[in-house]
Amino acid sequence: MDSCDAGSPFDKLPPELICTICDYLDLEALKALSLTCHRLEQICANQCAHRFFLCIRENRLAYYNYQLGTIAEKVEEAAILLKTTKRRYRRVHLDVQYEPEADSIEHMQAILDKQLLQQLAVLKLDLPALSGNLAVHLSDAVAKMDCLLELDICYRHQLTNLIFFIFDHLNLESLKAVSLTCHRLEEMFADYSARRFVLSSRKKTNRKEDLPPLRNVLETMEEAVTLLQRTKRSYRRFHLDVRCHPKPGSLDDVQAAHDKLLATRLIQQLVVLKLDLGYELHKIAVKLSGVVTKMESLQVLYIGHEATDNPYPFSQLSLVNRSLQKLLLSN
Amino acid sequence: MPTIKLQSSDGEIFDTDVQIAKCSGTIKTMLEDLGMDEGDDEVVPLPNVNSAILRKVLQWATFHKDDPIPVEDDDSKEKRTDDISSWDADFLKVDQGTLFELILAANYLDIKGLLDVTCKTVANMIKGKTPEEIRKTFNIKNDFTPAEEEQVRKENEWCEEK
Repeated sequence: MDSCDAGSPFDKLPPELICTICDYLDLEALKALSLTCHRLEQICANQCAHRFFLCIRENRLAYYNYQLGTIAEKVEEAAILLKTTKRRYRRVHLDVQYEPEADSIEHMQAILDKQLLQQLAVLKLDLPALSGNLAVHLSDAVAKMDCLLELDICYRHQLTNLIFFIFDHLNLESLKAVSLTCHRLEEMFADYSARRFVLSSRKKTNRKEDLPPLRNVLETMEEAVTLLQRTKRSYRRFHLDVRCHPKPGSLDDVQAAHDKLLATRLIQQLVVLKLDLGYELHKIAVKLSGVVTKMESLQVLYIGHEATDNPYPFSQLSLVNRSLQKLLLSN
Repeated sequence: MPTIKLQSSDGEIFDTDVQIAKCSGTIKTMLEDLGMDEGDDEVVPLPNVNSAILRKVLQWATFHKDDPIPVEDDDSKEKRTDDISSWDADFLKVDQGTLFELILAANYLDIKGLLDVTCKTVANMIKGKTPEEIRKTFNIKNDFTPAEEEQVRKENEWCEEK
């Protein structure tokens, strides 16, 4: 132990022990450490691979003032960086939203040609106008992007953009209040809501005794159908949760309600469907099977029913549906 | 109480309680695998640890001998560094050379608790400092050219946690 004159104590530690120390550092400290010397930079870079991702984007607050040239330069820089870096990233984001101008299309095409696009996990583009030429270019580029997980393409004029930017900072309650102020803001909210919100007719409960009585469910269903026929908004997902607490005497009502539900057009748009089938599942099984087969956006299906003497209550269900990701059958 | 003899790299022999010595995963395995029994006059050689450091390690292990076995928490998120006990903090008020030797010894001897607390202490010495301050603290020689430094700085700017 001929101590500190002989260089840094870090020189004595093998990389894996320095990594153990790095596990205790936040991003800021890791960045500072990476700037001290080559060896520590390399070790921090290995840390980066599993904890961090590379995110190339403009400060959103400032981008309305950005000249297009600057963004092209930024992308150029990013391309060079990705070519020369020795670090490996789990994900690379490229967020090049900017205010489009008349000559933006060539710039966009230049961006799409960059090699770096192959490594992107998230791509956000603000398109000046989707000319046929650019659309083909974009399609080609995206087809080659093997790591892409998220693609966000926007085309909006500037004012809407600004208002959406304000919406970004509001929670659902405030947004709902804004949508009730006037037609124009309501329409903007409708556009905007598609990106952030889900339409869901349900009360959050799993306890049977908390489920609403049948009459309320029928009304909800009726309202949902009416709403979906009238709305101008588009939703990313639509949930319908019509589990109820059926009373033994109300079987015919349940049956009628389900018939009506399955006959509506809205059912094509559902992403999540939860049904309580009461006692006599087999009466509706065949019909339900047929309907579910046609529901192309359905991802979650829940079917509950009351215990009966029938040991195979679901035997007549025959579900063929490619989009379905989750199926719950319970009694 | 049964004891065993531990020998440091510079030849010093430490008569140690078996229970304390077994804080070290390495020694525990050695005793079990080699079938060394207590009372044997055999000596366990520890060629990677000198007597000064071994004395510190045993001091730590004696104080912590009744601690529960630490659980392996293997998520890659940032871990806390503000939970060092005051005894450990006092114990680790040592020069940097000793602190880093303790990290190496804790790793070699497989003593998770000691490794955790020594690494935390070093992490705390790094946190909140600029690169230049870190270099100064740990006597690190800057081997970046200005251009390389700029490149790393730029890349860091785009690096985000998630």
